[in-house]
Amino acid sequence: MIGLAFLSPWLLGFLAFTLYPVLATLYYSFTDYSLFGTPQWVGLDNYRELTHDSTFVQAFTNTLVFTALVVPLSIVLAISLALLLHRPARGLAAYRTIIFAPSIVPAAATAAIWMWLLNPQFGLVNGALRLFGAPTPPWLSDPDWAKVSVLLMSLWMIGSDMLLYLAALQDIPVDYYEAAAIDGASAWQRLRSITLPHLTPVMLFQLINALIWSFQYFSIPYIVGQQGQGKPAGSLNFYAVYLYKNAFSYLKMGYASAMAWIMFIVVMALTIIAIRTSNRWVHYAK
Amino acid sequence: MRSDLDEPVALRSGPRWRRQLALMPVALLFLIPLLWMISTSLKRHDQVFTWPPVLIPNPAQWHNFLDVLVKDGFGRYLLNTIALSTVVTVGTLFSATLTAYSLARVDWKWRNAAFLLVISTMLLPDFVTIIPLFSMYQKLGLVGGVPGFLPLVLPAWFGKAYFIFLMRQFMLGIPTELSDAARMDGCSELGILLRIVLPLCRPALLSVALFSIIATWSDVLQPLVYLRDEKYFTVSLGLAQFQGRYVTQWEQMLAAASVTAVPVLIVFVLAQKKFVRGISTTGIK
Repeated sequence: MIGLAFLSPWLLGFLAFTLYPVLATLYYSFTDYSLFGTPQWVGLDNYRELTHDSTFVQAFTNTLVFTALVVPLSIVLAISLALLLHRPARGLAAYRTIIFAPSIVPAAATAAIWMWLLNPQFGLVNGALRLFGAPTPPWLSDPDWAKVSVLLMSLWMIGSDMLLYLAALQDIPVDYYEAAAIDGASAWQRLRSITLPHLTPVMLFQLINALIWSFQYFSIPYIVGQQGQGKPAGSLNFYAVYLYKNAFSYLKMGYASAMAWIMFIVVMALTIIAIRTSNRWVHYAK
Repeated sequence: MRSDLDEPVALRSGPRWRRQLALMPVALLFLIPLLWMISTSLKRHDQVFTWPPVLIPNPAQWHNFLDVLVKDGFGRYLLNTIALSTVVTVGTLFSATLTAYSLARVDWKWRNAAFLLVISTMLLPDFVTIIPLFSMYQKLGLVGGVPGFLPLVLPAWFGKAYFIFLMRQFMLGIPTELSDAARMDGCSELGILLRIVLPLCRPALLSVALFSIIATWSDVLQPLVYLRDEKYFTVSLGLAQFQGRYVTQWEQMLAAASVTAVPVLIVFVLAQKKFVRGISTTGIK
């Protein structure tokens, strides 16, 4: 009883801020609801309409494309940085601080900083590219390059993922490497058969996190796409942005609720797939 | 930090200068955007558009910050954000401690089921709950104005799964002998929590507080939904809206970005060790 008593604030919060709204969203998703008046039951109409809504299809595709790019790139980058920052070196603590710091910069500030860095005429990035005679992309004014721009912003904020790998690297017993060195294993063989297998639990965690997060990716595409307009040419019309627009700009609460449930189901399905297939590639230390 | 001398054979690779050669450029790529933010924020408007760029503006235009803080309202936004983060963080510490104590230190029948329920809410996207919650707050008159802060504050007081998880993991690591002895002496569970467990939880409380402050500071979605009145904006929301208004005033925009980013960066540098430990033990941001 005493355990339940201590849990009761959370339980109340769970009922009011989680369970009720999850069920209410499901109900709204079958209604026409504009916030004013009562929801009108329309059955599956919202879901049917979504399949014909080209802006929805665009938002879904954009998010899938972005996910397919950002997930593998962030896993590779986080691991590479962790490997780089694992070996002792002079000033290592400072290097770790510097690479981690951007991950706590508020998203709105990240957007501001990079919109300026990537400015086609006066930005530092194109200035540097010009210096080397490299082609200068139009970045945020081109639909394809706009996604790359947002990708760069995400990768800049990779520090907290990197830290997870760093912690995992420190847990690998040194004897493994010593034994491998005695057996004459090359650096590449040591990486392949000792280091990477030990990092797979973190990879699974990062994978699930990234899948959940990418469907909810909101602040940066909202800001960079100019207050949710998805500019340029719908390129930054991401799932969460379009859901927000439907709910809070167009007040199509029922429609947005259907989007929310689809998001929920997709995220759940991806998580389950990731976990189910994980026993084939995730290695747990005995 | 280990010295190079006791470094294991297997980790050694190449001479020191080669490591610096690899580390330095990578670190610069991560650092330059922040330095460029500060540099731009201190420029005259016409210096922003020159090439080769002005690296260190002289004289520094500190009045850019004055403009942003006073004219553009970021001074107010800062105070709003500090007040909001404080109330959210106090609430988070309260709820996370109580819930984690129940899940880690009290033996009761449904404990594991309750823990699974707490954990499962972490997988739930915010967008699945935001619409009915908004509708509920709207009916209660809690959207916009000062009441608009309540929807941002309330959930924290009832507990967020991430923070509960972090506190629970930490509490599991505290030996039970002391609390068992106190229980024998007739001390109440609340007494044990307050007098024995809580003082030992200081590092975890600090991590939770830091994450909570940074999460509140950075959030755009919830303030965008609930804080309709410009007077009550947070810095992140102010900056998000700023970008629509002054597209070419880069020195002002980057000054506003500095006002938003530098306070969290300072907090981070001051409390770095606790922060890093928090992430390493739970894997959360």
